[in-house]
Amino acid sequence: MSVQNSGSSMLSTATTSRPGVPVKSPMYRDHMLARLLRDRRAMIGLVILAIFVIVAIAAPLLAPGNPRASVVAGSEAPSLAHLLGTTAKGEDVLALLIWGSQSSLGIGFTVGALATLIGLLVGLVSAFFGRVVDDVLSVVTNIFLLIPGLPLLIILAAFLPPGPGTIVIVLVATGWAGSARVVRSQALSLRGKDYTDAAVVTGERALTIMFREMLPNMASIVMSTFLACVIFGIGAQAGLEFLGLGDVSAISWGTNLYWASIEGSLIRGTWWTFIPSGVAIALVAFALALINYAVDEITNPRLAGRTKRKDRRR
Amino acid sequence: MTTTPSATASSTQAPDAADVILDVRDLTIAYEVNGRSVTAVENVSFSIRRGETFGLAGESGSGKSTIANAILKLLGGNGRIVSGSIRCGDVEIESLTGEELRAFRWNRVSMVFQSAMNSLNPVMTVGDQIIDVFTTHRSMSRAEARDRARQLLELVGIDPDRMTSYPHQLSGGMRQRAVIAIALALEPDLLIMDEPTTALDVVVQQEIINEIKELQARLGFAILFITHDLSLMVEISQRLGIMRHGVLLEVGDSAEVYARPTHEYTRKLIDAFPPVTRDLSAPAPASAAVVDGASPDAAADAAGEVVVSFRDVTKDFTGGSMFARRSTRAVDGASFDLHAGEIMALVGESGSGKSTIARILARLEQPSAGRLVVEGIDVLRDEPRRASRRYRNTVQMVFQDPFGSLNPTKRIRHFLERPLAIYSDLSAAQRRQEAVALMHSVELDPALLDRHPHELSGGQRQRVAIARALAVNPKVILADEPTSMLDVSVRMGVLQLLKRLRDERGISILYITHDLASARFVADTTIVMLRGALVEGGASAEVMDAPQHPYTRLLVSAAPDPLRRTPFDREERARVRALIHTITEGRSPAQDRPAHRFVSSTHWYSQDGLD
Repeated sequence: MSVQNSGSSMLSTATTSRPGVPVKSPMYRDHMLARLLRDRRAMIGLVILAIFVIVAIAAPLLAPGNPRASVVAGSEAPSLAHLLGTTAKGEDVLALLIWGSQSSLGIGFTVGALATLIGLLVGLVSAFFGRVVDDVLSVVTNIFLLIPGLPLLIILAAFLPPGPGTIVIVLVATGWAGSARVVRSQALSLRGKDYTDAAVVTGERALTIMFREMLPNMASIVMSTFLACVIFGIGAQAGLEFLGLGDVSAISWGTNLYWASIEGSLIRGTWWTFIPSGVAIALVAFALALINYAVDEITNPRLAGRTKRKDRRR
Repeated sequence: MTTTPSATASSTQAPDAADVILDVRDLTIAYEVNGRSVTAVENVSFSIRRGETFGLAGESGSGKSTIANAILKLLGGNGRIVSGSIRCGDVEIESLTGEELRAFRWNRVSMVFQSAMNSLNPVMTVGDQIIDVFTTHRSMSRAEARDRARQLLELVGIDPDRMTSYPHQLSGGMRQRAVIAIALALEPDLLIMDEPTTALDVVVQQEIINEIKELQARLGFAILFITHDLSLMVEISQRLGIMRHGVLLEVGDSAEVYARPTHEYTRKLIDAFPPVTRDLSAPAPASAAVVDGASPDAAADAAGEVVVSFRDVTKDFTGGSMFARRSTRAVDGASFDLHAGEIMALVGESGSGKSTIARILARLEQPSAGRLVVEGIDVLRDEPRRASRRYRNTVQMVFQDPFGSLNPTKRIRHFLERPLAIYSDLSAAQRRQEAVALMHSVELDPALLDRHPHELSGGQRQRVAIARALAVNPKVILADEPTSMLDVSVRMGVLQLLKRLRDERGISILYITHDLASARFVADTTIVMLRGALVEGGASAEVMDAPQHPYTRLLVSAAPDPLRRTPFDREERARVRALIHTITEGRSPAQDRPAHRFVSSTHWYSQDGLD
């Protein structure tokens, strides 16, 4: 029979690529970092983020001493001695900004990681098992989505003892549902793929299928969900603390804004006490959003194609 | 209308310049891919005469669709004609621009696209879409256009009252007819059909092909017919060209090329689509004859041991909203036995429930009722919720789409070593060795183990999928249309591989397909499924040579056959369809059905609904 022949000829035809058919190569995790580093927008985002992270880590070196200590008698405009001026209590605004980045970034990323993780678990389990499990988890998710976030934040924050732990719990509780929804819909489409069924037929356990077969195919969506959760975490933390619902003695960009407001900076026109922290929050969010767009574009070939075509037309 | 008279007429005629509708000369087309120029079509020349059907056959990527698109100037931003010319009558297509081009398209040349069923606008009624063509290209009032649209629908065999239907309310075949109606609306000289029936079942395909032939006889347009199915092409076209890698390998009279292919590749394509009924005058391929001789023996040897016993299984799918529950019966009291070392083909049209049977056997779907015994395990009683690993170790599945059944983030190694890790105590090093052995057993280069699926061709991927199923050393493999997504030239290889695995390892295979010819080629026994119920079964050759049930007869007669003797009879087809409709509508509940009637010791058919 011609089994041997057909086998060997098939090998030879397959290795030569056919003309006119561009070889489709979907994007994978290992390509992603390299491509991120080549993307101009992602690069800007990463650099901004890196600066903030370095500042946060190096805070004791950059602004030694207690940032709450009064260095001058009262509010002073920016000068060479105090680059960003001082608050009404005479604290150095630059020192507060530097020390505040520790708490803001720390809580932001913790919230982002935890909310994404919970969303991931709920979404995957919901999509994989379907039926009753999905019904129950979807109802729970929808309830958390529907509860107005800010009032819940305020109530939870008011009842729990103040501190970074409380803030994290409150923000994760209100932030996970959105990512669960996104993950679930993506996982549902993966659940319908033949390779997931193939893994079931192979006899893989549910957890293995969820985390080793499905999860790697969701890398991009997990990444962008995580970034969105971090942005949410940093913004919402600042919001809570601005309202005085955090630990007001801790130093963060949110509490900086809180004290600036309490001390009447707006009325007195001491803009240097609130603008630096506000700009810092905006910059970090901006950097994360840039990275998010780039991730989106790299993992979604259709978006990438659009920009490429635009480039050529130019 | 038969092909012979016109075929001889056109081949004996000298190519009269006035008679040529389309003239393609030394055409070379290249695509720009990542800054590089890739030649898709190289130096192709052919011409199509008035009223003729010219076929272009070839596999995906052979450049046949590129030519079709070039004729309508639809190459897209990155494709361009490097050299050569396309002339349509006295018009040089390359020179057309703007308004001229718009007038040329559809008036002179129209096209039925590959995914024609999806090329209708889902938010417009079919009637409006035809009326649009008239009001756009002809200065016609809406009322006039409406009348013409009604005539047109009637012409292609759709009830004109379906004018107000939306595409989703029509069956696949009707949508295809509607698309053809739109293409013919302006009575073009040339109709390009790019795989117009690939997505359709054989019976509908035959009806549509016949419809096209009749329309062609009445309206006199020429057709450029593109397909990869050579049997179909020989049946419909007078002349054809075979393409591979952008090169036109041979052009000639269809019957001539089919009987005496001059090119090795053409031979391969012809072999890939064997006609279902073997004509006595045609010499049977030697390899198939050997197989036919061996099959009854294999079936007889195995008859003692039943591996899978499928008894009165019913599966209902419930859908719809919370308030309007709808239930669809996908499998309706189906029973069959699969013996050790047997290859059994399960054939039927799409939607007949054959894939559901595979999914039930793979324990991906829970049957609503019935009994399923595999290797002595009464599956639904012993393992009601999910399959045990012992079961998975016995029954494995090969999926239809090799592009979807391999996880794109994994390396090939993963697919072979995971089952080994689950079912054996082999060490990591032993698993690596075993994976290499598995690659050899499916005739693949072990060097591919460290590749990702997207780096492999479709045929290679399907072989990987088969190797994955083999890794657990199963007793039964469910193969759900394993070759339908593959290119023609690799189909035979995969089917032969399945056969060899049965011969060497004694694995039982349930081969699910809609292609009777391949069922005849690969399977010892064939069972036929009609709307969820099995209506006929027996040794493949017996079932296809002497079909008993009207539905089986219909399927066999509708399969493309280049050597067809009996012309299509419209009334006869309508009668058979009506009969089959009464059979499915008046079907008795599973327990009340009359016993099967046996034609021979193994060949049976259902008498339910037959008087």
